[in-house]
Amino acid sequence: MTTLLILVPLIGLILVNLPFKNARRTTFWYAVMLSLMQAYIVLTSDKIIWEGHFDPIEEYFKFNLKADNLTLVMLLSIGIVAFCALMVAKHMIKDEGDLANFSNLIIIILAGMNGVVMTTDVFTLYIFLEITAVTSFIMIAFFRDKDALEGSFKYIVLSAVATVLLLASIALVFMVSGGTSFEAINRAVHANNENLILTAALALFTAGLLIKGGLVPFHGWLPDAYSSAPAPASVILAGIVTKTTGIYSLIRIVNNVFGFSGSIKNILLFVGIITIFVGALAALGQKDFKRMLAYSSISQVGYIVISLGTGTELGLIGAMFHLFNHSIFKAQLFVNSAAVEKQAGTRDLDKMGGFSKKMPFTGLTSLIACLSTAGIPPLAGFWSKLIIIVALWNSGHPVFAGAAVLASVITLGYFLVLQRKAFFGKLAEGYEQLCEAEFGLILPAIILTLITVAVGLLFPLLSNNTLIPMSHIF
Amino acid sequence: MSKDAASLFWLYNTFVILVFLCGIYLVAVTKNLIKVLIGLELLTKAATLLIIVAGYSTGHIATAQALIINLIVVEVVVIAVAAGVVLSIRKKYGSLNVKNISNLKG
Amino acid sequence: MTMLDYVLLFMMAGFSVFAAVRRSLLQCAFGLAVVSILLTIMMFRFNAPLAAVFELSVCAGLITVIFVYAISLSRVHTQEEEQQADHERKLRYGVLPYIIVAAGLVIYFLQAPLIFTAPPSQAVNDVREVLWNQRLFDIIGLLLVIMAGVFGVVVLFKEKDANE
Repeated sequence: MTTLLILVPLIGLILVNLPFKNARRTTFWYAVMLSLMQAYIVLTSDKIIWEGHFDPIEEYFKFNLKADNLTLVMLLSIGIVAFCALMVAKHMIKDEGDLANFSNLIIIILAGMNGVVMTTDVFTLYIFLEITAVTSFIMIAFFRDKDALEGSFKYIVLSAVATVLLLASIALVFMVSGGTSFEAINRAVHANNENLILTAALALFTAGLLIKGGLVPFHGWLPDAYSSAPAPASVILAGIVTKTTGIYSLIRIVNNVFGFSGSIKNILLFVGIITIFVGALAALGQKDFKRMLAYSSISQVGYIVISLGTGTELGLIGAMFHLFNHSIFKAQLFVNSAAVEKQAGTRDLDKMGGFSKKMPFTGLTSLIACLSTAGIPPLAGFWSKLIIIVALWNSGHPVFAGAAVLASVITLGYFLVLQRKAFFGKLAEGYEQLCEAEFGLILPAIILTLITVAVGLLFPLLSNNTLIPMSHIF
Repeated sequence: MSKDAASLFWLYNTFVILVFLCGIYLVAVTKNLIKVLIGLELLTKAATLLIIVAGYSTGHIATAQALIINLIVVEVVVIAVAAGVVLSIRKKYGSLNVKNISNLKG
Repeated sequence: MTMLDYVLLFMMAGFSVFAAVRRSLLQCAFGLAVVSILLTIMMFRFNAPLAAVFELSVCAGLITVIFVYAISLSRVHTQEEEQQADHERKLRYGVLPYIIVAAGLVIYFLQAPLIFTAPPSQAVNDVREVLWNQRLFDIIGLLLVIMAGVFGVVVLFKEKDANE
């Protein structure tokens, strides 16, 4: 099964680009089918098919892919967010050729992220990170307008620097362990306790992934890239790409490969808390819809990292749960911003006002997503933030726990500003003709809202059946 | 690790860091977009050298070769895409100077 | 370690600085190509011929071509700009050689202790076998990367701007 998630997109990608008649038109639907199938398989399949036994393809190729619970959560979010990005693309990209190209890129990035989450080898991880990164550069620069090209270039530069740090780290662990698989490195880490080279390698790897994840102080590229990208690209970028490349890899590397040590915990805690506050405070002052969301994204990623920094089982569960929730509601807010941008033709919050009257679905869904992000019960975001704060408290960091609560209030603050400026109040002048976006653009928003609400309401059920068993991977 | 291998590794490592410093200095200081790309290439060269030395000094040269072959293919794709972005920027702005290309502010 | 190692390494550092500080973009690209060629020679000396051939053909060859192409499409500045730039350059790049020399001395004499239990030497010592038996999945990844590059070129070099 694991192998198929890479091979099917790859083979299909080649097939739909053969010069057959109508081949280009099928690309979009093929991409939609792939993303839906991925989500469906993860939700319905038995655990046994992920373990690689009785899998003739896996036996033959020996790809050494692995899918544990954390991977499955990521695969599910990748499928959902890719589907939403495709729906947005269908309505935002008019030209048929452009849409086909964009769908191709989505297929590649889907396969790339699947590789990132399933691999068990640091060098393969690097290759798939690069696939994802290269595809994101192209997606951001897709329409070649000035801002997008600039955002793309910034991303290229910082991502390339991050890549070199990762490569240096890979070289060092390769020297010490003689191989690049997670297992070999883990063995070497146990054999050489507190080794200088391994510490350097971990530091380099962490720094590289923090850049890729857009953590403060390496966040400079992120708001530019997110806000200047075309709408469907920012859905997939903000929703899942940076989370997969930066944060998921960080969890994997720290937890499964190097193991927690005191210094890495402290670094993650400090980076996390600084990121939360810098992101939230910067979001307060933004005038652009997408830029505000981008800074909010930075801030929420800080929560994930701070939760990881506790190093406890509960902290890891919190990090994972918030990662899932965040990719869902952030993707949804970007879908909303796409709808607003398409209908109103602006992203400037000062020019908006009272859009809820004319766009009821967009207004309502974005309100729910904002409340969930800010951690209002009983929505999904509340539970994950609660777990994070409890984890911080239990692991002996009451100050960080308090700061996380405080930052949550700031989150609520800037989202209320957003809602008040864009959706509540009197209708802004010149928008009397404004109407709700087409069904295709509302559909992903509604699906994502339903997920947020359902996860929130069913949390007591989920916590026993899904979340607690998840901890067995750690 | 034997003493010889360690001193060989450290000698090469010194120069890896020097090439890396050149690259990072160039990326940080230059005002020309193509020079930024040249700086990024220098960084990758440093990483390549580090991998090959790490493989050689511990006797895993075959794996190191395999890694480098893969790395080079990835690297050239990244540079091609980056060059495409730079050329598009140059077409839109009519300039390669960073000063003229800063609408966004981080 | 022979004399040649030192010569190659010092040349490498020298040409890196050259590639960083020269004003002419063509000369910078040339410096980068020389660094690639030096790296190739080192790989041959390290008994890694296949990687060396790749480095020579792709990095010293193809990437230099990409750079020269990009440089040839972007055109030079006016006289005044050049003079202005010249003055700024001295300030910006003048310090780099000193930084490099100082950093080199510091790092070389630092000699961090490299103590670890070395892994057993490799059983398979043929790069083709390693590539095919252990790193097959990477090759799938390479296919995807190349596809991404193809679409990147299609998207970024598309001549749609005619109507603008």
